[in-house]
Amino acid sequence: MFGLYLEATGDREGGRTQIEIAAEDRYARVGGYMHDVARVHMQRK
Amino acid sequence: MARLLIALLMVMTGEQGARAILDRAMEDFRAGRIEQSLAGFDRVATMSPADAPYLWQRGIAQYYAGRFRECRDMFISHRTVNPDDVENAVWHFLCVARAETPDAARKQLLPVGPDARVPMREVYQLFQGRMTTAQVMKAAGTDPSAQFFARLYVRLVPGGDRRS
Repeated sequence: MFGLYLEATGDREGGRTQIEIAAEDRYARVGGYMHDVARVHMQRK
Repeated sequence: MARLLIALLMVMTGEQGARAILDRAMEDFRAGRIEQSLAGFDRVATMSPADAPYLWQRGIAQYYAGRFRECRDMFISHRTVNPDDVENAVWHFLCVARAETPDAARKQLLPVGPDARVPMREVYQLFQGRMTTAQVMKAAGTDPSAQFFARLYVRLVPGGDRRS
C-alpha cells in the first residue's frame, strides 16, 4: 500500500519498495486477503 | 477483519446464494476484476442489508474502482460493527484523501478502540502524526505478520518518509 498514500498525495513515483515486498509470496499466509490486496494493487500499476 | 468475514458468512447461513456471490466477489477481486467484484459485493449488500456494514472488502473494491466517497461511507459504516479496527480507519483515511485531501483525511481520522495486533497501535499513531515510520518499523520487530502490516501501511501517512 506504499503506493496508495503516494497516489493520494501526488507522488506516484516514490516508495514502491514496501508494497512490492508486502506483495511477495512469502507474506501470503500471514497477509491473507490483505496480501491479495497488495498483489492486486501492484498488478494495477 | 477475517474473523468478521467468518461471522458474516455464519449470519448468512441459509442464504447460500448470498454466500456464493460473496465468495465470487472476493475471487473476482483476487483476479483483478474490480468492477465484477464490486457488483457482487453490491448485490450481497442489497440481498442482506443488515449485513452490509460487515462488507469491508466492498470498501476496498470501491477504492480500486475509484468510488472514493462510497468507500469512505463504507468504512464509516463498518466502524459500527468493528469499532476497534485500525485498518478500517486507515482505509477510511485513504478514501477521504482521494475524495478530498490528505489533510482533510487526517482531520477526519476515525477513532478506534484497542487493536491488539502489532503494530496497529503504532500505525494509527503514525496516521495521527504522533509517531515516525522508523518507530513503527521498530515496533513491528521480526514477526512476519507484523512486518507485513507495517510494510503495508507504514508509508501511507503524509510526510512519513521525511519523519523516519
